[in-house]
Amino acid sequence: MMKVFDVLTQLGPVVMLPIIITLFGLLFRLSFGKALRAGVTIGVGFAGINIVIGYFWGAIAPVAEALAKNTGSTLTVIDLGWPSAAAVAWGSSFAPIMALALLGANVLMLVLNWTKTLNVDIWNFWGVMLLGQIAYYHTQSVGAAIMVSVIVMVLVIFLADRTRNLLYDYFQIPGVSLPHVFTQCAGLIAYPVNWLLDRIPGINKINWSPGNIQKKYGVIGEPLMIGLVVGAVLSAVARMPYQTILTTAMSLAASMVLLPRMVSILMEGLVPIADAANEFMQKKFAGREVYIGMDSAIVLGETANLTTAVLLIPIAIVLAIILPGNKTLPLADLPAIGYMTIISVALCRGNLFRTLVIGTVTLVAVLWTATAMAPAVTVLARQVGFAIPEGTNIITSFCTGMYWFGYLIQEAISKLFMLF
Amino acid sequence: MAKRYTILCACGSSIATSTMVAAKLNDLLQKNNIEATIKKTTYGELDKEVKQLNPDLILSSTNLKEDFGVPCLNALPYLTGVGRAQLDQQILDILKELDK
Repeated sequence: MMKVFDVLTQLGPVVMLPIIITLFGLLFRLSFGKALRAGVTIGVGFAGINIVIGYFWGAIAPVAEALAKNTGSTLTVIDLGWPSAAAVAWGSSFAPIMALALLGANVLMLVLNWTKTLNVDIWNFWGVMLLGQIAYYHTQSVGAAIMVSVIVMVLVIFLADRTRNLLYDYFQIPGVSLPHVFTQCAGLIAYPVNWLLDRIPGINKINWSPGNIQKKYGVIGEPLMIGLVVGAVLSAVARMPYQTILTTAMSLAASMVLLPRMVSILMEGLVPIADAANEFMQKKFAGREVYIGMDSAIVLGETANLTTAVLLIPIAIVLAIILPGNKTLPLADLPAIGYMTIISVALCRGNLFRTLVIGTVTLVAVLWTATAMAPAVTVLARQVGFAIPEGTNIITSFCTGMYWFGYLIQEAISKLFMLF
Repeated sequence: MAKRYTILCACGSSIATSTMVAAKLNDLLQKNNIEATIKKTTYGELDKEVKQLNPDLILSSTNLKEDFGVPCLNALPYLTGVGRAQLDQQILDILKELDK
């Protein structure tokens, strides 16, 4: 079995993914033509992601190095974004086995009446799959890897059940829950901080409304503008010559726009398989009252949430610089902060003061976790063939730091496995 | 010649859910021989995209509170699979109305 994995891994994901995904599609009873098309599309998306990452890296690595040399900055971990992290997770040869294990765990939970959530958000399996792969990196044990991803998924599904009414009351989404790993792990911080804010006299009376901040300043939340401005400012602070400042600004803007496009090609290939899995699961539990587990993107666009996310962008950058122990330089994930604010927005009913306080506290955990997982993520990214040369810099996904809770579980299980 | 429509699909990062929605929409339009340009976008960029592209319809993965002056449907049924046929019909009705 391990031999097969090794051979597949050596071929690289651009070849391996189409083969594996085609087989996976056949397993879900897609026609051969459809399955092959899905598989090849995913391979194409992967090739595209690889090209853009090489380009992005070429632009940002020299700047980060100059930043370290000329300013004494310790932000040597470069944020390549969650779309890249998702591609790493889906690009692993374990991905289909893990996906089956995760579906199986959900079926079992439903059969045993442990949950009402029927999680059909196959794409976002990548989050717990990545945690499992980090466990594999630590332990070289497939058992540990699958155990980590299944346990974290089960916990997230429980949290999705618990937060379902809260989210329904505020966002008015019928029939669904959000077993989204980003959202639920970040949400665990929202509850205690909100509890604390309720008990501080004076502070507990403050209520800010989002108004039209998002409309006015929404432009700073656009990936294109974030790339342009952050690229220019970073290279200027690193005292690069003006030509480099201009090219870095443009290269970063280009990467921020192109990377999600490439990942969405990968997603296009996953759609028929996700649909088939969805249909299979729904047929299995037809006639039962279930919440359909969805991606948090279905509530992300709410005004208070978008406003909080935009205002947290500058806070994230300042925090990254001053937070002791942080080495992560937030870049590609700056537009994705909205995934971590969803529970807090519902909990504080859009009170901007509170969502910003909770968001800032959450960012501390996010930055530390993103820094902690960076060495493993770098190795995993190289394994799937991303063009990241050996050097002083390593990579992470800033927003994947939202998995702080899942990451701690991974650490515990990996330590346990390494004892024996 | 029949009109060529422009339809925007919006979600959080224009990666996952908008791709699911766009795929289902594409199926529907092909089955009914309707020509359209489908563009994926993010909530944050929606305002600008609407001004630039002047779309005929917006399919959003979220309940949008803002009025863009364009017919706007919540595409949740395309993601959950529940109520998909009704959403199909709503889209066809809106497009037919525009063709008059």
